[in-house]
Amino acid sequence: MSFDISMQYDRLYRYCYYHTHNRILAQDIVQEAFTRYIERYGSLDDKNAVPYLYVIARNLCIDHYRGQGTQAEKYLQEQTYVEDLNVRRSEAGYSVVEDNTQNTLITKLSIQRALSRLSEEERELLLLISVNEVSAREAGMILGISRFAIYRRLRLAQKHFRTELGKEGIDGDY
Amino acid sequence: MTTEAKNRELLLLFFEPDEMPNPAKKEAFLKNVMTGQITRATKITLDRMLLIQAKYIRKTAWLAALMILLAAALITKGSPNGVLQIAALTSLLAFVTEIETRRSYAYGMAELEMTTPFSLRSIRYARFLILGLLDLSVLTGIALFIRNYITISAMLTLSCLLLPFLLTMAGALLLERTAFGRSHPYGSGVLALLIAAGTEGFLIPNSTAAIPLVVHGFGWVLELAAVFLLVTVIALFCTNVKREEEMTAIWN
Amino acid sequence: MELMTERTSRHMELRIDRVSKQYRNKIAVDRLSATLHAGVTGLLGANGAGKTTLMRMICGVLTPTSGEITYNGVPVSEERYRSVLGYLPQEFGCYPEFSGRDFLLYFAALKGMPRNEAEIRSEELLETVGLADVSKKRVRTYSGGMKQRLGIAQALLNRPQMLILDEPTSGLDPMERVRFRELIGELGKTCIVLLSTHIVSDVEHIADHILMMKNGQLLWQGEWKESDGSLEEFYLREFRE
Repeated sequence: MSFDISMQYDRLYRYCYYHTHNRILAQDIVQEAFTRYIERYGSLDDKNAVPYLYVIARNLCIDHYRGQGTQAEKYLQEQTYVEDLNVRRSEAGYSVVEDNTQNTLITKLSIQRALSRLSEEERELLLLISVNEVSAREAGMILGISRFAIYRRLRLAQKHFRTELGKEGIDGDY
Repeated sequence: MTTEAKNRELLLLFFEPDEMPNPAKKEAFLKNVMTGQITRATKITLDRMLLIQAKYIRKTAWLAALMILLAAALITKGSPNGVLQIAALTSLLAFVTEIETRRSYAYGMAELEMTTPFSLRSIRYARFLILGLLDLSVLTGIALFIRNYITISAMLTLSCLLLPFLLTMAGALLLERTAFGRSHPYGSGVLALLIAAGTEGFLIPNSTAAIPLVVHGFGWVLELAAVFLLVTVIALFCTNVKREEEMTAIWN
Repeated sequence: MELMTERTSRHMELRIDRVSKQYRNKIAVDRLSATLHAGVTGLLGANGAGKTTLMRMICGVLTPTSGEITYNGVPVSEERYRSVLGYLPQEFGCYPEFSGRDFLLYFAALKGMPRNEAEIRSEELLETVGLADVSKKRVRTYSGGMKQRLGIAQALLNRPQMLILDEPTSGLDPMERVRFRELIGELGKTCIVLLSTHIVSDVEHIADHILMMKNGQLLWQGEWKESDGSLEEFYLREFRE
């Protein structure tokens, strides 16, 4: 019913972190996005608040790298040290999550490899809609495409993701 | 787990940030935003408040304001003294809000009204102020368009009719919006009386027009009427102050 | 499941600091301190325990004899505090000529809402509380439950960050109670909801936090989870002493 600011902050942070891989920068961009939105529109209780926030944040991320593209692509190519998700979380003071995945060989690295073979747009769609639970309408506003195109492309993105997961040896009824 | 949820979990393995946002920084920022939202949304300046309230004034009220102006113009025929006599009385219109407040209390709306950002009084003062400003603009408009000496001086004199009224309403509104004013409703009443008395006692004797004895006599009648009103109003205010005590009797 | 937002959000804070309300021969509230955050807080206590007095002080209807109440540092007396407040008193009246819609618009004006926004919001809320089809009828023709729902709509007009509800479920039939509990549960996600009752089952399943009052004092306060057992039993036990 109302705008859950804390949750949207975290989600926006997740989005910005994906693009910058820098904690301080990501947090600053999130806060800057909120500040700019509020300065322009006042209240956050608007159904366009969420998409506008993403648009502002996105532009800030792009601006920061001045046309080089954001860090997302670069990071995907790197071989990162795989940390256990729970270790990361507990270090930051968040509670640990239960490991519900049946296949214990699933690592961050394999997901990363699978995702690296998707297009940037496909990754954006998955992050926005599947992870951050942005609606199709809102995603359309953020990416500048129609709602129907969103549905279609999301479906393709999910299918592509599943295929790539299969190549990593992650099967199952996804 | 649903397919969607499983999918999300997998995606989160990658998308969940390596580093979480600094919690202290986040809380401080959000607290600022929330408080800022309050301040921003409610740093309601006088002009903004008036604009908002204007839309709530009924059409009949707008009409009545113009009619009253017309009536006053006809009665006083633009003479300075007549105008000032009526002007003194108009500032006492502030007490009309008292009637509304009593009615609202009688019908059990007072408790809720005490919790709103604006009190019923301040809304009423704001609306009176707007209507008074409407009358003033009409007069000014006429003076601007019909540019001969007689009309202009008549309009200016009539504008004086509105001055105590506007002063009272503006003053009462500003006072009512302060924490002190809201909890001490006598404030605006006292202001109204002061302005009325000021107009009576200061402006009239000093007006440049000759003051016939009749007007002097009439002035005494007005003096008495003001005293009578004062007494009634003080009684009304005292009963309003008892409101809080009465409320507490209900808490059990 | 939202992985990151698990801590209690503290960006909305209603602080009640050693608040007392004293009358000539009675202390209605005795040095009560509590801090509330977003979520549903149940205020339990028998009639006369001081719940309504406390709520009235939070809403600015009564002034504390001592102590302070602030929201994110803003004291009760300020316009800004009231602009994020929504209140539903135990009883309230209405001008006889008012329709449901008139009532909402009247309070929208008092809350300083621009008129067109007020009209849209009133329509929305009347829809939410299920009074859309009787919005043009006079309030005096409403049943107790309908009037209560109108009161809730009024409290939600200005999208409050604090919602203070005094015995909101009294007079509601079982179905209305369920609907109401759902609404409150939803609101608790983004708002500080304080709801008082002397019926424990009302809050048992929706309150995250409980305050128990007796004779003007805070007897007990704390988190309450389903796994803690029966709130009712605990409540009765505490009060027996």
